[in-house]
Amino acid sequence: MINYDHIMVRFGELNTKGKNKKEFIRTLYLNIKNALKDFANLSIEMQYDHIYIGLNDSPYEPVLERLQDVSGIYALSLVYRCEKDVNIIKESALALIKEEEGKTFKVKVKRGDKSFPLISDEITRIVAGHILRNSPELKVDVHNPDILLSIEVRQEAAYIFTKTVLGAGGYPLGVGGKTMHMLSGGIDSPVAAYLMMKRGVSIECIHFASPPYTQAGVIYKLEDLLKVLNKYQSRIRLHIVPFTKIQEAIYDNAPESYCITLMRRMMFRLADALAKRRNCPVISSGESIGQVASQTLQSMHVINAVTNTPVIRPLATTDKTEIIKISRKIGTYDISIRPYEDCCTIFTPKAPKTMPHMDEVEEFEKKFDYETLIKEALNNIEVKIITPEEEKEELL
Amino acid sequence: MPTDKIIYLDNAATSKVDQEVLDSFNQISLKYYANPSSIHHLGQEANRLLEKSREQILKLLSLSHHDVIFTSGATEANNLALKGYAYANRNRGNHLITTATEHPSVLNTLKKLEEEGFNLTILPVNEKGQIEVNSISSAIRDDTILISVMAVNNETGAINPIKEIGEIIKKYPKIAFHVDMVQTIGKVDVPLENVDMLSIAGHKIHGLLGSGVLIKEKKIILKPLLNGGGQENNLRSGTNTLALSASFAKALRIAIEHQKENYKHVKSLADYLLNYLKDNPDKYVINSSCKDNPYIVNFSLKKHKASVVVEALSNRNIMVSSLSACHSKGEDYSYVVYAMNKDMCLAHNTIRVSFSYENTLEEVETLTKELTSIIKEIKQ
Repeated sequence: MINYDHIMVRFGELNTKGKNKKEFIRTLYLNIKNALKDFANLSIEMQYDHIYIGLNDSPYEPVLERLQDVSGIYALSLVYRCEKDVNIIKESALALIKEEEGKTFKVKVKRGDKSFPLISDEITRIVAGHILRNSPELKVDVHNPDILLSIEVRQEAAYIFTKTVLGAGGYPLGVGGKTMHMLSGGIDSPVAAYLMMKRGVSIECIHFASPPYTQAGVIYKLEDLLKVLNKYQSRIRLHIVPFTKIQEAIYDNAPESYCITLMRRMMFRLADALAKRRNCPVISSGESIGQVASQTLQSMHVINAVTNTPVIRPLATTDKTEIIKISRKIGTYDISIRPYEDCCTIFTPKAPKTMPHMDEVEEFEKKFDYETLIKEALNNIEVKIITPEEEKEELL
Repeated sequence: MPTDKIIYLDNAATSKVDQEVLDSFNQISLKYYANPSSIHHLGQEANRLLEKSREQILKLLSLSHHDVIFTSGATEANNLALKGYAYANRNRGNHLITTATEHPSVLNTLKKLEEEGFNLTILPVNEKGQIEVNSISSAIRDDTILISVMAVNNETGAINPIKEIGEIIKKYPKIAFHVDMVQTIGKVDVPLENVDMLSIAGHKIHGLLGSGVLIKEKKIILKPLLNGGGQENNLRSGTNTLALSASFAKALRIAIEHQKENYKHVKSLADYLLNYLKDNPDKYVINSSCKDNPYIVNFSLKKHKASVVVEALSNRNIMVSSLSACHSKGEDYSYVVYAMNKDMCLAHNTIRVSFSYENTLEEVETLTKELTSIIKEIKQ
């Protein structure tokens, strides 16, 4: 029996990135290294267009599982590395294919090392012939094979593989810069955060707390959500903004139906100021068109008018069922549905404005000095750094 | 000659609480005394510790799609699993399957369900005390909804083929598979892949009496036995005893973290005792034939009365069991040993020695010496 000894990491859209490619790969390499730091025996090699993880006899399943959460990886193959000798290649290929289930196969050869004396076609014929002679139960099917045996002959060695799984796709985390992400604790905002990270953008999170109207348990919930997202970004900064005074002022100065609109405008002002302070060129949120009153296009227009900073809404056109599907997949759903109120669900007006008017909104805002309140809130932000390291709980 | 120190060899009945576990229990009782369901921050902190305990338990067992329900122990966990499942799923079928050597908290619960109209099949075990995998497959009917098989027998230590049974049951989506793992966790490895529900007690792994869990696959639907405030996901009402729950999680961690080294140590103790028993075939018959579980050594006396020998050992400060403590007051023979070898005389005169990592070789040496001298002294 012969064992796969490496995992080959293939890059996705990086191949379109021209001169930045080197930097992208470097970032991906560091992200992979960080993601695998708990595995003791692995070696990581960076090559021009692949990264190779040497397993050194550790089981591959947990490594593969971990790597599937790293953005910027197109596909992962479990490979056997051997000497670039056609006899060794064909024997290894035979041994590997015998471990597979299936009746038909196809051999696919890629010859990266052009100095190798045999061309791809010749290698294919030699290997396929050898397999056919030695495993009579296997037949060739070039259109729909049960087993696709791939061979890559490269500068440093030959690689043989049959198993390939898709990676997370997107770009390596960090190459896309940083966003100030609005995190409520509901179902949508963690999913939106995940999609941003998948696209290579690292996140800082801003949350608005209105104690005593909102409960301390919400913060635990956020910490748990971010711990799940630590799979994609191992260190996440969470800014908790005290929002009570602003919220009370809004309710004192505007009719109930307009409160949500005003509240969202204040939140964007705060997010914008914090984004500037933390060098985030964009703001992102989990808003989805039409989902609630503040997310109609007219509402978005009136709310968004407080800032020039681009606001990215990865879920803008996504249906709720689809959002729930993603949140289940990434593991945030069960935490998101814990029953806590956030700023947006307390004092819910009976009939919130779905078509707010800009002039009216501005009229209400003139009635109180929100700028001072915003400054005060910004000066009293509580910061938490969320990392996957469990605080050691002595009691347990 | 009686020894001064107590030699405790009845760990399958209950084990001495670990000092660290007791410390946690005390600290939590004094610090996190709020109701975990209260929304004030002390309550929320208590709740957080409670949820962390659940997470830790699942992580230690490498389970992910499961719920942890804290109970007062394994008897309650078994009752909740069996009655809860049978009542909630009666519309799917009426037939339950178990084995002849289950713990009374399983066997009697299922018999109670039988009185209430369920059909119950109790499968026999082989001479090694194990259930045969194919007897499970042939017992399954169209209306079978629940199968309960213990992983390790509490009297003989016999290990059942849980993995293989699980693979069979998996083919029947209607049937839930419950496993009593009380004598298993932290002691011997039993794969949990195809197990739908499992029961564990804290006090068998140096945790506190009164603590235990039922762990179930999320998709399993149960009818609660206790109604009230809806705690434990509505499956076990009553204010959660956080200090017990959290100290259970701690006991489990300690047991699993030290499982390998403890196993090695206990194996050396069991081997010593087994060699002694084998050297005296005229006096003893070894009932526990499972070489993979050193924690329980069960043997029968050929010519002497077990209760007399247990009493004589007790007078010498050595604690062993004649019957499983769980039913020593009722029947006077071991139905487990009888189910294995069908010999009433041997079933009447069984002795169970059950080890813990705390026992020493000297203690086992003392046991064998005392046994020899007692057997010599007392009447046949």
